[in-house]
Amino acid sequence: MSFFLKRLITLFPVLFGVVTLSFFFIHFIPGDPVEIMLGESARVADKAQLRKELGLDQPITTQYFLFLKNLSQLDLGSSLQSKKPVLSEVLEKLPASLELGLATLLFSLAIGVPLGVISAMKKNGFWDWSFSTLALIGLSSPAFWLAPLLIWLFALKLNWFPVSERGGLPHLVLPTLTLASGIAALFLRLTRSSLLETLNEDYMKTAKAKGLSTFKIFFVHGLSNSLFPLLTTFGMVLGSLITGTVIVETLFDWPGLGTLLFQAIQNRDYPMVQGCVLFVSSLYVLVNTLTDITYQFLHPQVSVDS
Amino acid sequence: MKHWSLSLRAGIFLIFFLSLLAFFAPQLSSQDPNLIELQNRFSSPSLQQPMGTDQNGRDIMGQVLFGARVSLTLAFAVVASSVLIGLLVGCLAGYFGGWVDSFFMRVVDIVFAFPGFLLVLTLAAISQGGSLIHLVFIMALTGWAGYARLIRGEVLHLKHKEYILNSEALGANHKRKILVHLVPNLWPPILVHASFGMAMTIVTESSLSFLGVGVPPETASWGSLLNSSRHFLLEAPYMSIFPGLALLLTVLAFNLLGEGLQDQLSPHVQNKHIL
Repeated sequence: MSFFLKRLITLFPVLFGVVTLSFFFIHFIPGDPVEIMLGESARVADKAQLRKELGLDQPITTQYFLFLKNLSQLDLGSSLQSKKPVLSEVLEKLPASLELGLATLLFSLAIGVPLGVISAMKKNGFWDWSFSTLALIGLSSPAFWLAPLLIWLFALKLNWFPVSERGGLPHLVLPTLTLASGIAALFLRLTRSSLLETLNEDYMKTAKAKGLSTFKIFFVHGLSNSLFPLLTTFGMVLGSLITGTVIVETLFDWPGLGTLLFQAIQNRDYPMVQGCVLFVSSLYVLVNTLTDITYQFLHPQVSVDS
Repeated sequence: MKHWSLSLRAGIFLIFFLSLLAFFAPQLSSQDPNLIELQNRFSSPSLQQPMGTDQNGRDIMGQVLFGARVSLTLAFAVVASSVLIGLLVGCLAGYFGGWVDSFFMRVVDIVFAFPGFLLVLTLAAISQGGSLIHLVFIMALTGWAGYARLIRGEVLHLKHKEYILNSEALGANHKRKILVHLVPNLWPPILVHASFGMAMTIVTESSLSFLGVGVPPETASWGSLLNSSRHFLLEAPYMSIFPGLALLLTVLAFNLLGEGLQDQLSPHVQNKHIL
């Protein structure tokens, strides 16, 4: 319980840091947002008008406190483009991203874990070698290359799946495949190495000495113990999922947060950009903390302090 | 000395080969990669132009070769500066401990709290139109934290070793202990981490360029090539295939190198580093 509380308490300074950093990064990076939004040749009066609208004419500390005050009321400002509140737009796009992310996770687990088990069972054999090579290629192929190839082959040539946009299950296939290539590869390698490590444990030798079947040794004793470490890498997986989502959503016209952020960047809609980054980063921190807590809960003997 | 593994040899060979191609890009490309020849649009790969031409009749191979220069140099600059900052912060934090350590590690925690790419993407977008140096700065700004954490851990581990204590007994001061005795022993893990870092940085840079906020538009880059080519998937799929292959091969090379180095230099942590 004390761990639980401690972890929750450390959450606040980190979240505060995220908030502060996302504010100051945007303000201290060279380049005048107003000039970028309106173009260098814009009239001085227009620039001043926009500067005032955005509150950029105030001293930076005032801006910061105003930002914090608004944030405490869950007000992330309004989009310059649509004039709607940033938060409601973000929440509107969230389900589409979650759908894609969840589908990717499930698919990656369904592919990565079994292949990892086979690799570990047949260590250094043909299948192990082929899967490892495949995983390395999967980890090294960028989404913005894989996606055009998949679209070209499965959508344009074979006409099996729709090219883009959100819809039923068929629409989900290509974006999920693209996103999952790297993550499934990650799961494969993690499962393999973790299972190999478990197989060396004494209790596995005991199980073997007791005369249990290979099947039972592998699946009951081995796998259940080696899947734990997968949980610790969830943060890493989530990170690559977020990165991939921005690109994959853009490629497939998927109406999620990634597309929202990218369009905001293109339209130089700074409140929206800041809101998206803040929202996703906070979500990221929260999920990571929850993962830590879950891990600790399931595996109390592991000290997370170290 | 352990026998060099296949991945280490393959990685080194590939990187050497790709660097040669990048270095000799001007000699290897038959014409100026920015030369627009509208009468020669979308020509399929041929002997003269092995990767074909794009929508403006520019030679794709030339652009891919020049893109290699940009990607490799940029990634190297980013990784080198991240390592330097990480080395400084990691050594200070690990060696002195106490509040110095707490302070720097909290900063590292906060940098890690952001999904890295998102931060880089936003910063790159805001400072758009910036130069390559700008881009290096932004990517190093988020990249150093991983090295700092790694190096701090190593320093904590090393600083109680006997040879450090001996050097102290012989009268070495802090500076000498850090620079002469600690830093040279930090290289193995740094090299492993930096190889994977190169792979990741190359992907990040091309992702940024793909999204239009990376290298300046006039600079050839694999990311921007892939972005413009995706509008011509049906008429010219080769426009997507070659820049992507180049990218895949380069990233693969650094991943192989990282893995090979890991087995070679620190067999006890084998398989711990996945990315």
